[in-house]
This record gives sequence, structure tokens and C-alpha cells, in this order.
Amino acid sequence: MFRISVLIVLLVTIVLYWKNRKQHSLNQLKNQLLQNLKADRPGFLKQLRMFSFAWSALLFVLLGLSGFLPELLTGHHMSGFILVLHVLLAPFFLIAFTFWIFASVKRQAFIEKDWQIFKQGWTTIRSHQPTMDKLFFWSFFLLSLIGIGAIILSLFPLFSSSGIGNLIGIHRYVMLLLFLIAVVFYFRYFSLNQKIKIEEK
Amino acid sequence: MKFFLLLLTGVYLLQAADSLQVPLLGDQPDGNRATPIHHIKLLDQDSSVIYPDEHPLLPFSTQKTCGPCHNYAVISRGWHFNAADSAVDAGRQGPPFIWLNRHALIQIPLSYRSWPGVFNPQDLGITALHFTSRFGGYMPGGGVAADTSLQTLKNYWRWQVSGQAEVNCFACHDASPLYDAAEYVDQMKRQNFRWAATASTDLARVEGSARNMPDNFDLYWGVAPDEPRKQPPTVTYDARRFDKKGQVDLVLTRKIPNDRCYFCHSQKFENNQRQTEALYDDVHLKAGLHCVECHQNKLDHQIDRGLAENENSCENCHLNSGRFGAPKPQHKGLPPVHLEKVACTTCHSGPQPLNTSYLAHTSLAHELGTKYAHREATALPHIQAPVFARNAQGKIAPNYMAWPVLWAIVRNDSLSPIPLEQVDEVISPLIARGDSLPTEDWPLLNDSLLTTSLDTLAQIFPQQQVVLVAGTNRFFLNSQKQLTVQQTDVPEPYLWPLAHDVRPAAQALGANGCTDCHSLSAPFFNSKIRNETILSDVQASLLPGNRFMKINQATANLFSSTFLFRPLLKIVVVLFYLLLLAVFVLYFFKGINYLINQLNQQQD
Amino acid sequence: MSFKENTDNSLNRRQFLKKSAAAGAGLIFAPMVMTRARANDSNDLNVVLIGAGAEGSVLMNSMLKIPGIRFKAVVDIWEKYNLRRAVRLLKKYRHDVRGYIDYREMLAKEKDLDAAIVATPDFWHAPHAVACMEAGLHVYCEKEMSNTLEGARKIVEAQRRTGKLVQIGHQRRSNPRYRFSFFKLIKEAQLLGRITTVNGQWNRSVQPDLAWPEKYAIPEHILRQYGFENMHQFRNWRWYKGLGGGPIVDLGSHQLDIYNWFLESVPKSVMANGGTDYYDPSTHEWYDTVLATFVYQTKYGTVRAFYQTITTNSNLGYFEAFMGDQGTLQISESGGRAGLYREQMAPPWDRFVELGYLKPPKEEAPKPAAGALLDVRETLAPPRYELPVVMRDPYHKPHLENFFNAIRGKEKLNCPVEVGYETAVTVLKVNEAVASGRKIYYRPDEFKI
Repeated sequence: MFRISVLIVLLVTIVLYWKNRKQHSLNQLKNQLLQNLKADRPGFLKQLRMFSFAWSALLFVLLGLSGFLPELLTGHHMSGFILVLHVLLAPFFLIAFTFWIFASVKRQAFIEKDWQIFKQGWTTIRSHQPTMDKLFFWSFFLLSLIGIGAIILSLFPLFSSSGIGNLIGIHRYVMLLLFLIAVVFYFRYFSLNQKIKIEEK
Repeated sequence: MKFFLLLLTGVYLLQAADSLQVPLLGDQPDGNRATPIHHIKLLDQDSSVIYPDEHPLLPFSTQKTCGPCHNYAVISRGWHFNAADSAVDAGRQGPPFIWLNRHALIQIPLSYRSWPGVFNPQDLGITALHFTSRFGGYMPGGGVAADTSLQTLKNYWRWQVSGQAEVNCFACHDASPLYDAAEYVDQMKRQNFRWAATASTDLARVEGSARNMPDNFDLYWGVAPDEPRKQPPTVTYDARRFDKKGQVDLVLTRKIPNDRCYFCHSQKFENNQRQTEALYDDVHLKAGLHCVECHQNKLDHQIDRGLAENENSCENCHLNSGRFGAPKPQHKGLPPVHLEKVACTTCHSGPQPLNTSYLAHTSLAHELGTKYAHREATALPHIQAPVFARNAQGKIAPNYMAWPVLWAIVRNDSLSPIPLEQVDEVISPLIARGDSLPTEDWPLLNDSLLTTSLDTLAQIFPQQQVVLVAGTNRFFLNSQKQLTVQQTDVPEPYLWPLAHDVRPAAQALGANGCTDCHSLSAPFFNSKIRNETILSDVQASLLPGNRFMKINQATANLFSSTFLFRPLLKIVVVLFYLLLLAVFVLYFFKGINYLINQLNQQQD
Repeated sequence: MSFKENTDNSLNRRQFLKKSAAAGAGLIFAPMVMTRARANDSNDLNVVLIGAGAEGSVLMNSMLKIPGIRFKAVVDIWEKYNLRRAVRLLKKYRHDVRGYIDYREMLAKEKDLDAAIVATPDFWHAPHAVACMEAGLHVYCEKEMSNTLEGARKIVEAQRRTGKLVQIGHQRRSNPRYRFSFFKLIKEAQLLGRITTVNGQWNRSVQPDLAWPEKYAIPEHILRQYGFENMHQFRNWRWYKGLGGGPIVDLGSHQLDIYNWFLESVPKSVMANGGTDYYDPSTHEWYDTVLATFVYQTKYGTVRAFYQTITTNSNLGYFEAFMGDQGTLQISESGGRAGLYREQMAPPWDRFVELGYLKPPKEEAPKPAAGALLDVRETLAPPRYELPVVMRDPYHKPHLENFFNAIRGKEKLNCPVEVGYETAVTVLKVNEAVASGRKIYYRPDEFKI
């Protein structure tokens, strides 16, 4: 079942890439990132945000690949060296992610304008990039909490093996969903071809 | 035409009669759980009733005595009796018999079943007669000991003298505390195959030896005329057990006492670092179960071997059916990957793994329970346990392991074992000459003696390379006739599952935490097994114990090393997670607060 | 090849002697060189076994080890036991064999036989052997030739009449150890000097009567048809007068035959004492204990020979000891009981060891204790020399091989009827001596027909 889910996510990724192949390029991505960085307010927080985001993103990708590829290719969950890698990288991701959250949470808080847009419905929300960004942030945050929390609970002898299996299942599916959201947001980024507009109080 | 019709009718009637065959009295229990009393006559091989005051007295025949009520033909195809039947699926590996000859430097796991890693006795020139007289004491009769198709013409006369060893119903079903399985062993060694079952019961005594009788020995002879020291097998029944009609009371049971199983299925573990007592604490037996409650069989005697798919496996009782009140294991804190990759027995069975494998003594290999028992800690044959390896399902499970030690000829990169009789004839005298130490381990050897032995055998097999394989060591003479040792993986050692004694949860691997296995010094991944080194001036080399686990040792060590800082890791991740949670909760409540305010404003 | 030639050859090739001895090939000392018959060639012989009891089984066991022998029939009146067992066994060895109860029926139906092996009770030897000879078969007849002299005579007469080969089953006559002892040690080397006395015995433990499975008992009418009153008689015929000759005939005939052979003579007289002292006389008509003294006049001079057979004690088992002024030869069919002992006054036997007649003795006489004031020693056993010949074959095999090779024209019989008859006379007179309680003299013409 999970393998099928991973396959679906992969297909979605491929489809999205295909749809955005003309807009999508690494150069463009680099330019977008640099533009966003320039648009961001300078300071320690910016440095922290940038640094932690980069690490989070990188580790997230590595964790995702180490988690999903074995499932996709072999039908079995990760094991051996890949498992060790995943287990070693995960805490670092958590740390980087925490820093990124701390650095970004204030600017990602919903403001009055966001609430007004919410009242106008999904179409309006979709068209308003900053709100969508925030939505992405908070959903990502929430799902991360669930996914990471499940794994942290499994580290302690609180649950039986089947319980731990369920927790791991939650982790996998939530992380897969996270991955999907990240992919969707990533390609949406290109399709809209918009700069990040930071709207905060 | 008439004849043809008659013939057809006859055939039809015969077939109909066959399908309507009435089950024997003892084949179908009527539901009464009490053990029926067996107040019966004993019959000999000719179906004559045995009266204790007759002369000469023959042993009773289980086929003739038990057969009228219990379908002997069906029973004799049961698991304990069908080893030599090539049509029977050999299934999962099981304990082998080990042919041991100290002076000929032979230690070979044998079985008639086609388990990978054992040798078939016939391939080594071991006749059914010799196999039976050597190992028959630990076989409950039937099978090899009674299969005429295995009996060579050369030994036909001897089989007439010794008789066949019928299925020994008493080996399991005799509930008398005086049943003497050790006596059965002794009788089989004397080639008293026909007499062994009788001798093992408390009904009779058997003296004498068929082995010492001439080829034309007759059951009705009496003493061997000119060999007064060689007494023929002679039965004396306990007349007090017979009533006037010649009937005896047999103390039999359906629920086999554990002692019956124990005689053949006992083991103890020795270790250089510490001596361990035999583990008598199987949790199931402590809980009041009998061996046969898990290892059941019906009339067909196809005993449940505890396979995963069987009704009485660990999984089925503890996870599914809950039979016998089997507690459902929580395995708290144990990630489910362990249940996929590791068999139940790994954590729960056998002795706690130590840094070096134990030397195991088993009933079959070390003749436990008899006067022939090998008692020294390092007594041959060398069996090691636990040795963790992948089972047929791909799970890591504990095993017993025995390296073969044998002489062979190299033929086209494969090894052809030299017939054992030939090796014994040539090598034993050479080595026995210098063997003066009273040890049950290998005799003291040195390069010179090995060289001489190899050279002597080489003269019998000119133009061929003769080797002695012991463990991973292959000894041979090079072109300059110098002793050379080469490392080899052929033949592989024989491994068979270790499943007893079962330890309770509190004594299982992992009861003290993950580091029971996942640490750089934990025996599970890092133990050593002994190589079979027969040269006394070379210390027995140790090999990695995980060579059969098919794991990447580096990865395992890396993973284990993460447990060094795991407690710290847990603290860190919990801390950071709580921070994240706090942030989320804070902004969540902020959001809730805003919404509430909005709602209030709207109401206003 | 004469023995002189043999001796010269063996003098020069001690190693060859030792090797052939070790291989059990003592038959190089046979009068003629024997070559082994190959299976499935024109040398194959079709045989019938008459009598498949204890002795018949022993002979059958030996013959199955001789190539070129094909069993065609087995005869035994005990159909459900002996006959069934023998036929089943022979079929296992892939002999196309048929079973018969009656020997006459067998002779009428089996037309492709070369030889008959007679291993029935003594009183049937003559009828069986004669019938077979008249049917054109060569005969191997177990000893004793008969329980009566009349029966033995009939066999000799039939042999002369038919010209068939008849070997009497005194198997020691073909035993390479015995042949070596006689031809090499006594005749050639004269190791013992002048033989003056002989001592022999066959002692056996008390044995219960032979029993039988009731289920397979022979019907009485068949028993009676073949001369037995009941199953006990059938199984224990050796003890019954009119059927066998008792232990002195069963056992003593083997050894008394050796006495005659080694002394190259027949006895002049016998005195014997014995009786049924231990067993039930109603079922043991013959004597369970016999002690006999013979007097021989040999080329050496007078030789006095003592023989005993007892069936109540097995002390020292069975052996024959020939004592001369130079040494003693003690020999037995059981290899472990043989040995040669030099007399103190005889010249050293080192020469004989060098020449290969003897193996050197194992034990040495221990030296006296050092510092002892008086040289007091116990009487020590003299060193024991061993024969350089071993026999690992079953006891009857060489004798059977000699018989079959004689049929094939490759050898002469080692125990033809004339020799067997002399032994029969020697042995059967002993019972007469016991019964009469007086010295019995043998007439020379009694030994000849």
C-alpha cells in the first residue's frame, strides 16, 4: 500500500515537472532564491532563516529519498546503511527545522488581511501567494509535528510492537504527504512565477 | 466373457472392501479422555503368545502386539520413522547423527534426509546395519532399522541374526517410570535390534549380544556352542507381570511424558569462559505444558515440528489462537522490524549468547543419558551454539553448528569423501599409536603426523589430491610433499535450528534494552565461533559469529554505535520537539483567540 | 610341483611366504596349484543343498562367498522354517532356486545339477549321498559319513560304483593352517622331532536342548516319514541313538581325523570311558562325557593319544596338541588357540624362524631380579611360536573350494571317501568301547573296503 502511495507521489511529481518543465530550471530556481533573499530583511534572523532553511530542505530531501526510494525500488522499508543514514540525519533535520521554524514563525503568522482572504473562499486564497505560502508553512509545520512526534514516541518503550508499527506508519504516510505538499508548492512556485511577497505585521 | 465379468466383479468388490476398511480399535478415540488400560497378551514375531516360562523366549513384537489395534503401517510412516524414505519431504533441518572417529579424524554430520549440509550415510559407505547399531539407540525403531531396501546383501546374514528393529511404541508411550531408554541404546549397540524394545521395558531383561553371534545364528539355538563368553541374546520375562492367561498390564499413555522426549532431545551448553548447567527452565514446561502439547501428532505420527505455519507455532499460539492461555506479547518498545527480520527463537531460545559460542552437547551426538556419554567440556563431536543464521524464511534464528572433518579427494574442484572404512583402516593405526592422553577431544596431532597420514592415503589414491578438511582448513601435501593449509568454504558446516529451552520475556534478548544486541560489544553481532582446528600446536582460531547472518558488519556496527549517544539523542530530540510544539500551540491559541474575537465582533 | 621345490622357493622368498600367508592364501601348499573359478563362465557349477539346518546354513554361507556356484535347489523337510528361510535367502542372492521337502522329488525334477551338498542328520547321509551319486551328482557329505559303519560303507561302495567325487566334510583337511602344520612343520621340517603323545579335546558348556517355534512345527506324519518320532528328536537328533552318534562323533570325528592325518596312521586300539552323566538320558541317549585313549603304531613308533569331549564345561575349548621330543604343536580351528613350543633340550628354533616356518615368539623370558642372592624363578611358560599362516575365510570355505575345484579337474580331493571311512571307523568304535567298558582293537582290514 505504501509503495503504491509513493508511486502516486512520484507520478504526481513527474506530472508537475512535466507541466512546468518550460518554466522550471535550476538557474531560475537559484535566481528566485537569491531574489527572495534580497527581499528578506537583513539581520541575524535572516541569516538563521536562510541557513536553517537550506539545511532543512537538504536534509528533508535526503530523508525523503532514503525513506521512499527503498520502498519504491524494492517494496521493503529501508534497512542497512540507508536506515543508519536516515536515523543519523533525522535529528539534524529536527534541529535545523526547529531553528527555521523559530526564525520564520513570526512572519508566517496569519494577519488580518489573511483572515479576510480566508473569508472570501478558496479561489481567492489560491490567487494570493503570500497567504498560500503561509498555509503551506502551517500545514507543513503541523504535519511535521505529527510525523516527528510519532517517531519520537516510538523511541520509548511505551507502545507494543504493533503500536510502534502504527506510529511508524503514521510517520511514513505523514512524511509522504509532507513530501507531496512540498512538491506541489515547489512547482506552484514556478508556475505562478511570482516572487515571494512577504507580508507580515 | 463370463470369466472377464467375474474378474471385473472381483476387482470391484476388492476395491469396495478396501474403501470400507474398518478403522482399528485404537485408531479412533471415542472422546473419552482417560487412558485406556492395556491388559493384553504379548505376541512374538510369529504372532505366538509369550508365556514367561517357555523356552526359548523371544522378544515381543510391537507390530504383532500393538498392530491388531493400532495401524502399524500408518504409524510406521510417521516423522520419526521415515528418514530414509526419499519420497518424504525433508523439510526444515534437524539434528543430525554425527559419525565420529577420533583416531581417523572424522566428524561428519549424517542423515538419510536430504538436508543441505549433511552427508548421506550411503555416500560414505556406511551400511544401514552399522548406522543402526551405532545410532539406533536414539531412533525409536522402524525406518532405517527396518527398511529392507537399505540393507546390503553383504550384511544380509547379520540382519537375519539381529532382526529388524520394529517401531518401538514404548519409546514414547510407556508411562512407566522404569522405562529404560539407556538400555535400548545398549541393546542396539549390541545389534540386538529384535530385542531392544523388550529390553527397555520393565517387563523383561535381555542379556547377550547378537553382534557376537555367527552368521547362521538361530533364535532357537540357545548358547553359542563353542563361544561360552559370547552369549546370544536371551530374554527373561518378569513372570510376576503375567497372569494365568498370559496377559500383562502395560502402563501406557497418550500424553507422552517429557522424559521420553528428553532422552533423545536433551542438550547442555559448555563455554570456556564459564560452565553452564543444562538449562532446565523452558518457560512452557514451567507453565505446566508437555512437549507433546506443542509437538502434537495424530495417528499418522506426523509430528508438529514447530514450523511457523503449523498450528502450534510460536506465532499461532501467542499471536493468534491464544492456545493453552499463551500470553500475547506486547514487545513494548520493540520496533516491528525485529519481528520481520528475527525469529522468535533468537531472543527467547537457548542460552544467552556470550562472546564465544558455547560447545553444545546433545543426546544424539554425545550419547547423553548413557554410560557412553561424552562428558568432557570439549568432548567430540564439537557442536557450537548459538550460531545465528538466516532461516528458510530469511529471518535470523539461532542454530547449532557442526563443522565436518573428513578426508576427501579433490575431483574437478569438488570434494569426494573417501569411504570411512578405508580411512579408518589406514589412518586410525597411525594416530592411535601416539594417542596416550585420556581425552575426549581430538588426539594430539602435529605436522609430521598429519603429513604421514596424508602421504599414506595418497599412496592409495595415486595421481589424486587427498585432503583433510577441518572447519575452514584444508590440509594437503603440495608438490614437495610439504603440509599446506588452505582456507576453504567447502564443505559448509551444518546448521540446524535451536529452539529450546525457551526463556521467558524477562530473560529474553532485549529485556535489558536495545543494547543487548545493538552495542559494539554485544555478542549477538560480535560473538566468535570456533574454527575446527585439529592441530594441537595451533590455537583454535575464532571466526566471526555473524558469518551466516548475511549482514553487513560495518552497517551493524555503525547502527550499534548510534546507541552510544542514543540517550542524549532522545533528550535533545524531545527538547526540540517540545519547543516546536510550544511554538505551534502558542500560535494556534493566538489563532483561536483571533477567531473568537472575530466571532464576538460579529455578534456585536 | 613337489614339496621339495616348494620348500626351496619358500626358503628363498620369505617375504612372499609372509604376504601369501597374510592374504589367507595358504593353499599354495596344496598338492596342486589352485586357480579361482570365475563367475558366469563354463566353470559354474549347479548345486543342491540337502539339509538347510544349522550346518547347512554354515555351508551355504561359505558357498555364497565362492564364485561360480549356483544354487538350483534346496531340500529340507522343515518346510515352514529351514526351507523357507534358505530359499528366501538364496533368492535374495539371486539364485534361481526351488525348494523341496523330499530329496527324491528333487532328484526327479532337477536335471541340471553338478553336485549335492549333504548336511542332513548322520543317519540320512548314506541314503542321500548314494541317491545323489546314482543320479550323477558329485557329493560333498558332511561328517560323520554315517552313524553306522554300514552306512559309511554304502557311501564308499556307491562312490566306487559311480565314479563320482565324494568329499567328506572334515574341513580341517583343507585348512591352510592345518596343511602348513602337517606338510611343512611335521613332515618337512620335522619340528616336533619324534611325536610320542597326542592330546585333544572338545569341551563345551552346558546347553539347553534346541527348541523350535510351535507355530512352524513339522506335522508328525512327515516327521515319522523321515525317521523322527517328534520335533524334539528332529531338533536334537545328535543325542539320539539311531540318528546320530553323540558328541564323540559330532565333535570328536573332526579331531580324531586330524590325529590319523598327522600321525599318518590309524589307531590300533582304543579304551574309552564315558556316560550320560549330566543330561536327561531319555532325551540324551548318547554319552555327554567321553574320555578315550588310543594307541597308534606310527613310523615314529608307538604314539599314545588321549581325547576327551565333554558337554558340561567349556574349559580350554577345542584343540589338538601333538607332542614330540623336540616340541609341541598345539593347533585349533580357532586361530587364537594355536602355538608351538620348543622343548628345552631341542636345538634353538631360530633357524626355523629365519626359514619362515615359524613366526618369532612374542614374549621373552624375564631376566632375574638384579641383586638377588638366590636366583629363584617361577616356572615360566615357554615362549610361544606362531604359525606364519592365518586363515580369515569361514572355516568350511577352503574345503568346499577344494571340492568344487576337484569337480573342475583342477585339484585332488583333500578328504575322499577312503580317508573319511578310516575316520568313521576310528570314531564309531569309541562308542562301542564306552559301551563295552573294555579295550577295543582295530583290525587293519576294518579300515579298508
